[in-house]
Amino acid sequence: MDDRNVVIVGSGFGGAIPALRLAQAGRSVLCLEQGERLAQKDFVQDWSFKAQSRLFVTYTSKDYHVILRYGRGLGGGSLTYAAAMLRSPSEVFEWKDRDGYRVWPASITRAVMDPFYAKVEQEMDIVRASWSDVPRAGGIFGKMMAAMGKTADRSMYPIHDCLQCGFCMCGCPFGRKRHLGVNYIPRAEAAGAEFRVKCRVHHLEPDGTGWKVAYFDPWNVQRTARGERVVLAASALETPGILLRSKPWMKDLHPQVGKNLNQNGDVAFLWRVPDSLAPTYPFMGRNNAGIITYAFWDEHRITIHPGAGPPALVAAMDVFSEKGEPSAPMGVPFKHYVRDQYATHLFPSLAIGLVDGEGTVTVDGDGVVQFDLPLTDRLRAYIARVAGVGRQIADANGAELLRTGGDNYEHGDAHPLATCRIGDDGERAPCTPEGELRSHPGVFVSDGASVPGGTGVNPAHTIAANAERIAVALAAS
Amino acid sequence: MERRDFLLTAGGGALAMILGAVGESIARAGEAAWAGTQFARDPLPGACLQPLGDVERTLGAMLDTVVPGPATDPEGTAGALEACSMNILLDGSFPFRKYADLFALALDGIATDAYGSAFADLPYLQRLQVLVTAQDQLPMLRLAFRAIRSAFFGGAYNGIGLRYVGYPGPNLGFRHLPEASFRVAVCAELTGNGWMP
Ligand SMILES: Cc1cc2nc3c(=O)[nH]c(=O)nc-3n(C[C@H](O)[C@H](O)[C@H](O)COP(=O)(O)OP(=O)(O)OC[C@H]3O[C@@H](n4cnc5c(N)ncnc54)[C@H](O)[C@@H]3O)c2cc1C
Ligand code: SF4
Repeated sequence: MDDRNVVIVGSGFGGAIPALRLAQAGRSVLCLEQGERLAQKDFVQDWSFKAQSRLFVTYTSKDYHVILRYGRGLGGGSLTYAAAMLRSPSEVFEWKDRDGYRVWPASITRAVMDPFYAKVEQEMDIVRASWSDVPRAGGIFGKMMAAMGKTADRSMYPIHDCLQCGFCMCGCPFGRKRHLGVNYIPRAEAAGAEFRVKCRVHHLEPDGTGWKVAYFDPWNVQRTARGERVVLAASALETPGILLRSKPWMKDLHPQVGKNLNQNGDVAFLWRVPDSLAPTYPFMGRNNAGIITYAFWDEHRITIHPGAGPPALVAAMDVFSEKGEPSAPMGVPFKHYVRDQYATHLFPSLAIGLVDGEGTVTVDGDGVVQFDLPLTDRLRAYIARVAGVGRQIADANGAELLRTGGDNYEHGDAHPLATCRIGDDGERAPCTPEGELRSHPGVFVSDGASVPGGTGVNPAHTIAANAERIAVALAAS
Repeated sequence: MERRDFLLTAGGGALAMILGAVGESIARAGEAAWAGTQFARDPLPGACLQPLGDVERTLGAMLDTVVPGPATDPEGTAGALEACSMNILLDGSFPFRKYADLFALALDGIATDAYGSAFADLPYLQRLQVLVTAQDQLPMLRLAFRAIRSAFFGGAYNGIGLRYVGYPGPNLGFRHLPEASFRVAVCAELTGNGWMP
């Protein structure tokens, strides 16, 4: 049995970052990752299900209305994300939920997070997009904001010399997107950390002063690794899954594990622009279209950014026009509508905002992760607010807001958070502010599961900075 | 004509059509550069899975209603069936296979109740109505419809749907096309460094 100071589960932001810091601190580190080690040559411009299922794990909610997914492979979501890396606004850290509970620990503010954000920016070489890097769809969105007398800001990315091919979410085949596999992970390996791929962790068991990590190796043989500390970083869906599967050995597991699932207040929709703004060419350019507006943050606590959209994504949405055409996302009119509008008049957008996380992650009898994200009254009110802002932008520009989704609302599929959250209140938060599981000392959570609420913007940078912060506590523990 | 000239001369309502043609030419160039990528391919003989047994006609009619092909679309262009989207329902690696019989049963049930005949025997508009009703009764169907659309427009099995919407597919980057970016500031910015304080 492997015996290490630290066993880390998952190699995305929450895993790769502590791996580097702990190895640098002289700890023996083993990181178990279920996905493959992918090199630049493995990233293919291919939106087919077959190619995508190699890169992503996808879950559907129990009522089939919501899809959530995460990237798999050495480097986790960093391989296939759209790479917007944004610091969360200060108000995110002050956010209070429906009960007036401050979800982030009082000791953590934006000022406290800033040095950790800065470390990530340095390691990943994050830079601001130039105006030439802003794809056409982003530029159109900027013009729409300007027409309203509002602002939009160029975003930050670990992308250099982008060719604007539009396939970031397949993994960059040109090596322009600097994912964790080219910075944190090789640096951690150089410092002595071992990353073992195609190893799927099933559960944890206490073992004296440490923990046994039960996993399936690449040949599906069950093996065990032991760590004095275990760091769970398997994503906001899988981290609670591992803990819930461990219940037979972790009898007093904190009851909030798997609760508070927050999908970052993501609401996806499409814009249909007037001829004066066409063509949109939504496939030309990086998948996060270079720009974000904070203009509605003060009033509504939402941000909106445009995306570049492959047709699979756009057409898969249940598009409904509030003006009645197309009336249903199927049939001859819809087919013709997509053909006539997709390349020239449509582009997708994502609103992100602060709303309570009311979803739940569970495991079924086979130990498989399930989730539920109910459309609560609170969520409905939030969506109505987002749609109101969207309509305002559309009306000011002679554009049309196309609502999407089976509930007339499309949850984004990419930003699950908070299912094993840190917090001050031992009743509400399974983890201490330092990321340690309250019911089970020695087990830490450092991924999106530990981020206690919505991040106001795309979450990866805050997940990464929080992992840097937790790594400091881990190294000291 | 260079593809960038093509794009530059494109304008107004004709854009989609022209872009379709441009898309094809870019896709062809892409195919040469990226041979082997899944969606640049034309349908391979036998690539489309065929349903077996009684559900065959019903599922086929369902696909032809979600994304109509030549039998239903007055313009006669290919639809979900030709794009092999049946695979979504029959390939065991997707969640729908075990529901295929149930889908067929539900559609025939609703069709018989509402119009007195099997789903596949209904005219297109009545089939459409049945699907709208059915997806509310059987939420899994809504997901299946999304997957069928996504398979067609996203080129899951062949490039028919991609070319139909004018999507160029694999490419070596659009950076050098003048229309890929406005390249100048298009609006005022709130922050000096890209993120809020
Ligand atoms: C399509 C897409 C686009 C996105 N774009 C952006 C963006 O532009 N900006 C942004 O901020 N965020 C973006 N995100 C979100 C971002 O990718 C995630 O928030 C982030 O990757 C989460 O980090 P994490 O450490 O929590 O987990 P992940 O990065 O998801 O890593 C978890 C890792 O754990 C592994 N794992 C899971 N279960 C096990 C197990 N049982 N055993 C072993 N290993 C396991 C997984 O394979 C994976 O590699 C995007 C997400 C998607 C899906
Ligand atoms: S758009 Fe840029 S970063 Fe994205 S895959 Fe293409 S070259 Fe890479």
